[in-house]
Amino acid sequence: MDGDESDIPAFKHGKRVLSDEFNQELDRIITPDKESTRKKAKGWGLKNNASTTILHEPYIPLTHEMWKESQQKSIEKKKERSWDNNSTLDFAASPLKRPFAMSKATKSPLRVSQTKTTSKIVPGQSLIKESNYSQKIATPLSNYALKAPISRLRVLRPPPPNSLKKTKKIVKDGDWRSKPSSKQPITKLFEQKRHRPSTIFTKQDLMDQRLVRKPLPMERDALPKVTPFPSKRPSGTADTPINLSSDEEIEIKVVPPPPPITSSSDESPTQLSLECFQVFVGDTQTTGNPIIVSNENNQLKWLSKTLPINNIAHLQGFFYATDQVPSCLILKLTKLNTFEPSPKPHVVFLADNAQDVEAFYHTLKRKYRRLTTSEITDVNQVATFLKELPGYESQKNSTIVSCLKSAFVHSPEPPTRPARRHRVPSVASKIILHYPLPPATNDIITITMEDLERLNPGTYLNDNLIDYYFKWLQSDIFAETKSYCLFMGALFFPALRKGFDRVSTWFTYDDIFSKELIVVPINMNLHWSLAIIFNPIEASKPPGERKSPTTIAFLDSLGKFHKKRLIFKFLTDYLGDLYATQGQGSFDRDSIAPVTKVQCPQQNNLYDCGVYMLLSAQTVVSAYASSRELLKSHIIDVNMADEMIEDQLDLAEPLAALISENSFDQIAVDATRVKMRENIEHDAILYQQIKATDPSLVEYQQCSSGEDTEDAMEIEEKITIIPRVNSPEDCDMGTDSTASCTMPLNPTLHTIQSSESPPSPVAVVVEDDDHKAEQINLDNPHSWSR
Amino acid sequence: MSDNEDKVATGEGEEKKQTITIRVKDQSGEETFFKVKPHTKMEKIFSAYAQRKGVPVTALRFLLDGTRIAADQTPKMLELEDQDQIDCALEQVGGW
Repeated sequence: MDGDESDIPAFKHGKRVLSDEFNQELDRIITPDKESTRKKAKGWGLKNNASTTILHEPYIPLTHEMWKESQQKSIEKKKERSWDNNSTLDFAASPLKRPFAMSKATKSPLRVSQTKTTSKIVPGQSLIKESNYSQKIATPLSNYALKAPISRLRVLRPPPPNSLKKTKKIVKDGDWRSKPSSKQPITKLFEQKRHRPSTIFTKQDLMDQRLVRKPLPMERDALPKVTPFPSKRPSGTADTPINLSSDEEIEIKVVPPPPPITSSSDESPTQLSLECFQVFVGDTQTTGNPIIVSNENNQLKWLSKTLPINNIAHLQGFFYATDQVPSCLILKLTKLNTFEPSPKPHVVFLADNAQDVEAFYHTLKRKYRRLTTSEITDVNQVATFLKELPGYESQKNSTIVSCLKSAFVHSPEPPTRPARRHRVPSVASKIILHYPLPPATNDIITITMEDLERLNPGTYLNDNLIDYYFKWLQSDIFAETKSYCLFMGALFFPALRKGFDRVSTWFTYDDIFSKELIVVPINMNLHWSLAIIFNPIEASKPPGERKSPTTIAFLDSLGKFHKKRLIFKFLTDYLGDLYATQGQGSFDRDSIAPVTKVQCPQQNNLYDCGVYMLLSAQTVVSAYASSRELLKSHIIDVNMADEMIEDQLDLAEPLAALISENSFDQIAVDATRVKMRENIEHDAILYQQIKATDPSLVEYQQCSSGEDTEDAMEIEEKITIIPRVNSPEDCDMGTDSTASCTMPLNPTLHTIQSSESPPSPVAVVVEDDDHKAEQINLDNPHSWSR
Repeated sequence: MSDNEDKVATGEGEEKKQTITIRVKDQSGEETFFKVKPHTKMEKIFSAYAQRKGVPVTALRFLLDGTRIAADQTPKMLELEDQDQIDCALEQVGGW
């Protein structure tokens, strides 16, 4: 407050010439009520160097209680100030006259200003030898000076609201965590706190000011807005699943009716009106001459109808009009639209002037950035909806078809589906075969070109090829073994290693325990080996009734590469767990015997293990099949399984009849690769032919649930009529689209498309509402009138 | 054939509009949710999933109760219901 002035008397101590009468008079003026209390007057007269400026302070009468309280407080405070308690300290040397000033201050309610003066750092102050004193001054003086008087002010009198706020604000502003207020630059506060002002802070402060006070001179609308769809990336969690169904809704209705009427409108790119000759709202159509659609106040208006833009879910435009096919604008409406009763929530505007439509479309697109829009570039889509057009006469069907034909010629874009093509990943083009051929719906292996390349010599086999081979075996030469032999998929064991619950639903009780032979391909550490489970059901029987023990035989073309004990544990646990969940009674896991010393062919390279595994399985199963009856009666008559585990040779002995070290050799392995490749290529041709012969067959058969083996057989017979292509070069399906298109057996079938070739111009690929791609032969116009 | 389908479609008009949520569970047990229509080809799910995982689709195998799913099948063909789970396994390669 008046700190500067209060210091002055202290330094002019010797020059003061005020008389005692004057001091008494002053005291009387200052404390008119308390004149009688001598102590008071004595306590803080001007003769004691009190500043005269205290006169300006609002006087609050000091009651006895208040005085006592303050006295008590001051004593406590004094004790805190150790330097004040030290009576031996000689303050004569101090230029501050510290003890004098403080003692007065403790008695006075106006001591605030005086204590504040002591916070001044006086040169030479630190030279005072008393450590307590110097420390007090050196370190927390600034805080001390600020905070101490505040607390006392509160004790002695209610603080004026302004001052309280002020002090609070100072503390708050001084806090480095608090945001810098715009009025007081943070640098000042930092200087008060004896921080070096940071250049970063000053810069930021400047930037903040610039941003807050002077916003960029850009209109809000001019800023690019992010449309909700791209910004909201689905996360795939339960709350926000990845929505793949939304963009299907986009492809809806395109209705191009025949009679075109010329329309003219503003040529400016920002035109807000469009002339159309026909408007379809759901099933109701309006024909006008012309109907003007205008856009005002976030609404589309035509005739007497209005449609808020908010109700548009999707906007589509078709601008590639020909003479016969008009341009159109299609609005998909949200559920909450003004045309709610309409069964088909879409609105179609038809205009023949493509440029107008395009301009209108782009205007809307630009103006309402939240609107999802798409351009239709495929004339075929337009054709799809002709039949469904409510006011459409059947006689015009043929004209439209011819229109479309000509549109193929004149259309600025080829009749492909560019957007769709983009979305379909490249792998779709590489697929050469879905193995159980189309009639099958269950467990379909997708074999791609990459898989086929894995059959080249010196390459590794993958699970697709393993599964294909086993499936092919069971559909071909091992067809009879289906009843007692199960080939597990190559993905079973990796999944089993992750836990039983991963595979608990893969096979049922009957799948496993009704079989005599279960072939399990094992893949660990980039190596294929084989485990064969014999007679899994036996372990569930009481020991006396077992005809032959449940055994698990391991066939490893690299000897001890795989840890058989680990595999054995997984498989026995699987059998036990499956039996526990689906079977009845107890399952004796301990009775299962491992057979590791099987003599099987060993590979002499480091890449053929997959084929060795396949051939081992084939050898064992074929041997088992040929001597099944014999083996069943012959395979060891055991009652005590424990003995068998100890003496594995006895168990391996019957296996020796199934496979031996010389069952097959490297030549057979190499031949198997070639054979598999030929098989796959052959099946790929069949697959392509099935697709090409009757593309609907694929859909239809897959739609029908369950496998109808009779149908499958029929189709296969039908197909075998087609001559096979023998050399693999001729039937390379994936890369050369024309290579496979040279079989004119079916007169109606001009081309056989490989999956990679783009849709031929002969066939119209139509996306209808069900999103089932159907291929329609345009050469046969009757196919339209279904 | 198309007539057949149309009948089916109109008969199950309500069901057709429904979307089902399919869970794809990878080897580490992490689940990804896809909201699809019953007639959406699984291809879409596969490619979207592979894209998320940053692996080529050819390196992934999708299994429904241990049986493989082809890309051109649909949830309806597979008789998938809401919240059904598909397992995703990695390609297994071995050579030595």
